[in-house]
Amino acid sequence: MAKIVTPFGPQHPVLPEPLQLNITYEDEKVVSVAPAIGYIHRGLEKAGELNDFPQNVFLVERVCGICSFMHGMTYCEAIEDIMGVEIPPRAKYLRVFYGELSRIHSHLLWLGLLSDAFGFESLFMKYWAIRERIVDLMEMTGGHRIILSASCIGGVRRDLTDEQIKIIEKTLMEVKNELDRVTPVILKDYTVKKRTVGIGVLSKEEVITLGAVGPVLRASGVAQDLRQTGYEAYGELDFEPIVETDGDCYARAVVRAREVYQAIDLALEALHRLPEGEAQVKVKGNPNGETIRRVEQPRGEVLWYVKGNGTKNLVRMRVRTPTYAHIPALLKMLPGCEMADVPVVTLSIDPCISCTER
Amino acid sequence: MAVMLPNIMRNLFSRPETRLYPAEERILYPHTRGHIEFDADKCNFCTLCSKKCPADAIKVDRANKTWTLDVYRCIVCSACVDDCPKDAIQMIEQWRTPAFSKTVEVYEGPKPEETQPEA
Amino acid sequence: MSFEAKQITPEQLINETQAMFDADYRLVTATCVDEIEQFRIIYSFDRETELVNLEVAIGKQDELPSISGVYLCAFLVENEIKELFGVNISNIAVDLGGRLYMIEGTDPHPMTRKEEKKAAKGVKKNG
Repeated sequence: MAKIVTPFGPQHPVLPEPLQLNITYEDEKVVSVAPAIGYIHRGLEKAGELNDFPQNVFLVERVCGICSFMHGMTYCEAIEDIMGVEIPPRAKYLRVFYGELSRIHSHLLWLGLLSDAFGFESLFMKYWAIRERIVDLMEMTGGHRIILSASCIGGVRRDLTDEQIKIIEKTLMEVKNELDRVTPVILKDYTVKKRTVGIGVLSKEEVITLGAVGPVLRASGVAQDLRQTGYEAYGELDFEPIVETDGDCYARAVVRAREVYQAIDLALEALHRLPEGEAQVKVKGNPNGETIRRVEQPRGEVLWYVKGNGTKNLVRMRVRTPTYAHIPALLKMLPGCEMADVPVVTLSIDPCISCTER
Repeated sequence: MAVMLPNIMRNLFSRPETRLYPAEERILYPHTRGHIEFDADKCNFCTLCSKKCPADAIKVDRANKTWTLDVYRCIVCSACVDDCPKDAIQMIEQWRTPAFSKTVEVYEGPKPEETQPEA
Repeated sequence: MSFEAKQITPEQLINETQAMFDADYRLVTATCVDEIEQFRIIYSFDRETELVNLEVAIGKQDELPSISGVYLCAFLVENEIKELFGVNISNIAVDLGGRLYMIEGTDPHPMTRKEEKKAAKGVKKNG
């Protein structure tokens, strides 16, 4: 049969991100893929050189909508590392709390989108209804629903009162009870398994040479989680990375579904152990030097490189996001699968194109 | 399918998750960042808010004592609210209502008395 | 400051990268810094959460060999460095010809810097 080339994206009802894949089909099987990105390139790395370095915290949070807190936190950590500033312990635990809240909300969003990708709309609506509770918590404590603006250079902008902590603990326990009713559907349902098991497989050797990160790496058997390096207050909390061995779309869904439970436990433990003290320190002077910081975002490992030369403007600000590392892996996973599996495989890497193109 | 059936029965007999807007309005939290309001009597025109704004939405003219806010450039980050030494800018939790065109708000501070020097 | 890098020359680049590949390191990314007289390109590798950096300094017109023969996933970041900075990288495995982000008719190589800003006042964005 002849080969046809069809574009998938940038506007497509099932695909939530503006990525274009030009797919060559032969009889409904995928033969080869050619990606094209560049639809929302905004030039943020250049804009970061024109602003003052404290104003950049607000610019950096808007690289991505869903992982926005972690971008702000890593940039502040990099500037604090260059200037030699030590933040108070209360600020470290509060950053861990906001980070885990951000991880819960991102994974619940992804689980909903995965259900929508193979047509299971009631599950999609159930997951997003649970996510609304978490987003309301973010508005109560941070100020906005998604772009929190919670971190600043020197700590955290706003502290939590005891009354807010009681409401947060009650809400997180209710979210856990509701998740206990919905998670068995994604783990055990026959139709979900038929659409995801054995599709988009990456073996343990391929996943390291292709440069994949985060849940994609852990779903193929590599036990690596950057929170083990002990940045912020993670060195004092006790947890293990969640690993599966099959390497297909089902394994990635299981890893993310179990990470939601782990994140709820870590957030509650960080709140129980919150030390007394102030939430931020005053910082004077300009950064002079360079550094590299890495943090575990919900989608994987993010790398920030910052260089300053003693003036108020930075010399270079560079970010490498996890979806950037997954686009070459996508070119290896797609050939060989059917036409109806293409949205499921593309969504299983958790794409975030505004992070990729900045 | 048996795993999803209890969820469907529960959905059928409980109240809806969506809010019946406009009959029911959303309750806003006290620390929600809605929009900023400026009090010209308290301002001493130090221009600190204009320097800290990441979106260049505030312009302060010291000589003529005017304070201009480009309403649709503001990203409601409250950097100006945190740094004002005279507490002249407040953060209110109501969001702005939609409008048909972009506006710019101009405020004027109290002008100093003009005295003629004796010849 | 937590930044150490091993300095190498462009001729040693392919051999050092092959040694990293054989020792099971994963390529994280390549960062390009424009320092007015030269470019500095920093390659970062990771194995079991430990980060290793290799640094290459080249002049503005020099040629740099591509590492996509060793790590295929490097083609995306090398295309970006070639398009935004104008570094002369040869033999990239999948060459997108300068059309990754920019469209026809825009000024080429927008990330290059013209002079070092030494004054206390920086340049503000136009409003």
